[in-house]
Amino acid sequence: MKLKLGSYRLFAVGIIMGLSAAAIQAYSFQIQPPEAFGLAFVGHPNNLFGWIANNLPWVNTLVNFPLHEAFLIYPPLTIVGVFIGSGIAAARSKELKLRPGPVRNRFAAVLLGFLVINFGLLWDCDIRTALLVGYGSVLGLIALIAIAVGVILATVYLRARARRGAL
Amino acid sequence: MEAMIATLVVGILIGYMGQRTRFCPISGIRDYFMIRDSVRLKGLFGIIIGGAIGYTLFGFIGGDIPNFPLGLEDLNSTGLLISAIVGGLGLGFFSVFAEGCPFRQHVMLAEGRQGAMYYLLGFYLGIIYFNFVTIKWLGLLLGITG
Repeated sequence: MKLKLGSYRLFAVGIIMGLSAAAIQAYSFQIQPPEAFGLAFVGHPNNLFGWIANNLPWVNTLVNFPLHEAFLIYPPLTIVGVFIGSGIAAARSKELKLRPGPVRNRFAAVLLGFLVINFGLLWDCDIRTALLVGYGSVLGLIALIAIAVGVILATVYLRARARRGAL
Repeated sequence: MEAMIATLVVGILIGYMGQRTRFCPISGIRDYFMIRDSVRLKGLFGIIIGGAIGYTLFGFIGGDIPNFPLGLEDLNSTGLLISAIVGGLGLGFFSVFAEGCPFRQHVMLAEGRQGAMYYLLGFYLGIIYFNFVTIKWLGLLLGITG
């Protein structure tokens, strides 16, 4: 039997993400502090990258990345899991192929990644922010509003640029 | 060790679901404001509700959920508040131009999207830059604002 969720499929995925993050925090012990850190797509890549650099011979004599207490001994493998999971899903649906985009200009893509992580590390990603809101954090709510305002500003800019282009 | 395995397993699960559903909270907010389409926005609400249910439930049955609900507890520094606002604004703004949040970019790389590959090149170079340069400015800001 196939469960038909229609447009609520994404809602269901969000619920599963929220429950998974809570379960990781509640039962996989050393994942905290900080709170609501079960899933994070800025914090976890930062910790994984830092952990690899800190444990690589030669490299660790040059750098010492600050890591969250939770990931001093073992790194978070969330990103590795996402690669495996989405790779399997893409292969199963025959979507696994080399193609351009979403940003076609290579330099712009590198620059955007650079800017997103530098702003993201000031706080964290959208998914962890949503988890913090679920954790009852007022600061998380303020950050989520800031993210939404950032998105709206970019949308307004894109609309204005499209209108100018149309004239 | 448990944390490493748990993050790997959950990563596989959400990576699979994220690819099938094109999950991206940033695109959800963008779509709603651009074309009044709320389909992808439901994912964001799902995380908030799922998280709230999960933290309440697991805390209730003995899981390790300290300081729940957080409330105003983490709002004890002006510097942190400024970081949250500036960081959130920048993340939201530039993610729209990148056409997806960091999670979505990792999923798109696994699909073979070249733009996501270059995005993530900048993303991981940015981690180095942040840890060597930006963090020093942040320390200065926190020192000034307390």
